[in-house]
Amino acid sequence: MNLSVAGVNVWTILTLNKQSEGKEAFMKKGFFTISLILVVIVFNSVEVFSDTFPSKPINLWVGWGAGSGTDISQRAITENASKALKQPILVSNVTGGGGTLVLGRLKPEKADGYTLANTSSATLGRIPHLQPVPYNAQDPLKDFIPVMSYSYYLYGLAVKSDSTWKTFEEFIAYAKANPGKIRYSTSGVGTGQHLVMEYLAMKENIKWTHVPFATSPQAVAAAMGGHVEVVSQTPEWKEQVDAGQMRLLVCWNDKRMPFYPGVPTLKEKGYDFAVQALIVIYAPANTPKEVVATLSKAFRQASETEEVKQILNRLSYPHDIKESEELIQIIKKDYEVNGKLFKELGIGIYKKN
Amino acid sequence: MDIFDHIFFGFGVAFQPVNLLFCFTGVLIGTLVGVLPGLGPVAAISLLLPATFHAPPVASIIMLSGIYYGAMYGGSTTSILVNIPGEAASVVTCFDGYQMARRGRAGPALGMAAFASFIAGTLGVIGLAFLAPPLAAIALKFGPPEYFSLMVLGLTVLTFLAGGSMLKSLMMASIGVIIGNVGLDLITAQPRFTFGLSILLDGVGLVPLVMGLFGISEVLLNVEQRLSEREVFKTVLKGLLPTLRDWKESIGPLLRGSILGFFLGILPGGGAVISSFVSYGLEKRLSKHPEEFGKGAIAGVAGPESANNSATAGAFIPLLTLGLPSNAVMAILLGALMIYGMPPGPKLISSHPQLFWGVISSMYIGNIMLLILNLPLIGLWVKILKIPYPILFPLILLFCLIGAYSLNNNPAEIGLMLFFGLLGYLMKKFKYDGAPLVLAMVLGPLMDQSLRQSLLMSGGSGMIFFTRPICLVIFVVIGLILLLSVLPLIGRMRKTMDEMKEV
Repeated sequence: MNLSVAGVNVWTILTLNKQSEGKEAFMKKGFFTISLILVVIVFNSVEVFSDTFPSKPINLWVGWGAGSGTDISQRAITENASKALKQPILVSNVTGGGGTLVLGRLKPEKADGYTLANTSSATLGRIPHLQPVPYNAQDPLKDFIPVMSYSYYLYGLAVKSDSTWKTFEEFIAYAKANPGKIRYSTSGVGTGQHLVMEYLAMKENIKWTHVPFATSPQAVAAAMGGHVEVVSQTPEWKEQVDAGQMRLLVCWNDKRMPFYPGVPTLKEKGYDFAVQALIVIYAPANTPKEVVATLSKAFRQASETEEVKQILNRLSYPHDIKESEELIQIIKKDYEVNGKLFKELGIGIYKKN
Repeated sequence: MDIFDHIFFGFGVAFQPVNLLFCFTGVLIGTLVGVLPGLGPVAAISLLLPATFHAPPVASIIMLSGIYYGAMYGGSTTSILVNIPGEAASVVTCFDGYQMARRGRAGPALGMAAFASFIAGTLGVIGLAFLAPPLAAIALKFGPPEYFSLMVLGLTVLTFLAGGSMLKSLMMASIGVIIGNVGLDLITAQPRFTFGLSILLDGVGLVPLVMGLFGISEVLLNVEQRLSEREVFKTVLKGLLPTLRDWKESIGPLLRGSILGFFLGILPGGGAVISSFVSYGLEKRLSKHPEEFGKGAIAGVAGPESANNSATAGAFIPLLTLGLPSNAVMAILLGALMIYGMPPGPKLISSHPQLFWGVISSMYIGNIMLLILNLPLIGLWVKILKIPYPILFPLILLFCLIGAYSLNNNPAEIGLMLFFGLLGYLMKKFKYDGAPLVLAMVLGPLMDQSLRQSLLMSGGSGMIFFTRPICLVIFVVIGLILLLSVLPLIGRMRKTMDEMKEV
């Protein structure tokens, strides 16, 4: 085990070295490499490695548009992480395919930690069941390794404040008693906020109508304008809720939202279901564990400054660190649970024509 | 009236030196990104956003807004000079603006575009100041059925847009609807017309399409002419500013365009683009000389240019009063406001009046700055036309390629643009008009979505379109428009029948 880790280290150092140009540089670096190999073999220590990675600028592609919440948060963290790694991190945006296109671009890149992507965990855990993706749809974790996650998206169910339903139970009771009367809006078929509503419909034998919209603000506006009874959505309802024009009935996340501690979760209501999508930084599969650890540490520390925490807070992104191993487990479980649900509901790639 | 107190308060904020400086920087950048094809306000604002995190928030929002409406000024420049829309909302300006330039009237076209933008921008801002809260409430009343009826109205106007063969126009419109529906379907999440290509899953972008269809095709068309035979722009430039006659022809379209743009700008989904098309169609219908449209009618520049500018003012209403952005630029501004700790929404006007009134007042000032900035530039822009084609065209091509790539950092967009360049070249060769295609491409998917959303809401009953008051009014208007177009036809038929009887 130790030997193989050492082997990986040596190999990585050698490949890193290949990129240096000029004979003189090669001679110098060659000597440097040999001494490093010796050091690695003798101590086989991770610390030695983290001294050498990174030795050149890192590219980080964000899967969402510039100016989006994910993009803003990533750029804020990058500034600090880049100081810690002592190398510039160049952020650019590769958008499309619901955040999957960026992973299609990441997949063929060298697994050396110099190219990373930031996109939602749903790109591996949910979207492969929904639409064609530019990577392994059967086992997406074969193509990528999650480096870390610094936050997650919030989800909740909101009604206009003048509606008669004060609690989640009242709402469910009405929906059960009045089949077909409830119409709900979301920002699209196969999103987490849509799936949870269909899950509830299945569990409680409810008949309600889904009206999908192209964007999240439109979905919220539809509920505000009374075109649908309720909206299931990410916190685009926040301003309306804070102004007292909308009421949150339930939170779809597995724990209560830090911004609305009084709103119960679906789990508390006795359903074994939660919607989750984390903001994850990915590297290509086979990126050395030490590189992942170095990056993870840098991003984690960068996200823990007051400035970044304030930005996350204002974007309604809870500060929450998850490391690579935990993320792998979360994504694996998500993939299974969603796969089962998509099949049962007959939507996405399982749709029968 | 305490609204005037608010506006004076707003000017107090906007006239602070730092805010004036940021406002000027914004409109200057806006003009520049408007002129560069492909690089639009979305890209410019999002690139500058992180840089503003350490600047004063109100000044930052003033600057970012300046980029947005400034881009609408600049966008018309390349449309008029080289037939390449600087950004999507300037497509319509190509139709008559470029023709004017070919007839040596690039100066008046650019001048009218600047004046139209100025007047409409100012009117839009006045509307924003006085009508924002009540209009926000009305905007919420627009659900899917109301959208559907609006889109039908838009397509009805499309029939006025058609120049030449009606059959060819309808063919182009059908292709536009198909292209607009490429990608994942909203209601079923199934890929449509993607041929298994993942680059098509997100649909075809409007910007690469119009750049290809109008700009690249024009370059191709000119390359094929021998340099000596090239007739374009040989004519002497006649004047730099619009004449009195130009003004007489433009003032009506300008005012109508301003009002139209302002209201359509409030609604989500490409208000600036749609309103410029609708304004063009409307003016062609109302004009005493509809045959001049497409051949260099100045009304065809004034109307759409005013519409797309006042639409930018309208677009601020749902963002500032509801916290619900209606387009991509507004979504980025929403993110910016959240970062500054001033989330827009129902409470914004009372909790952060310096922001709301300061930004609105800065837009008056910004519009004046833009006019002062743009009028002297006309002389400079017109000189571009004197650059020899062997130098100018490779440059245009280069800017288009960079612009298309910079949209999403995606090389596939370049491919799309070149494809539509070829298509546009063939269309020009065989005399197919690109305008119906573009309008149908914008309206088609919105119509498709809102129809199906409406029917989902009603449980499949079409009555939903006739039981809602706003919907009903719009459908009555559509009926009247169609009737008005048919009436002369009936009159003519009766005449021929009478003549036949006499015979």
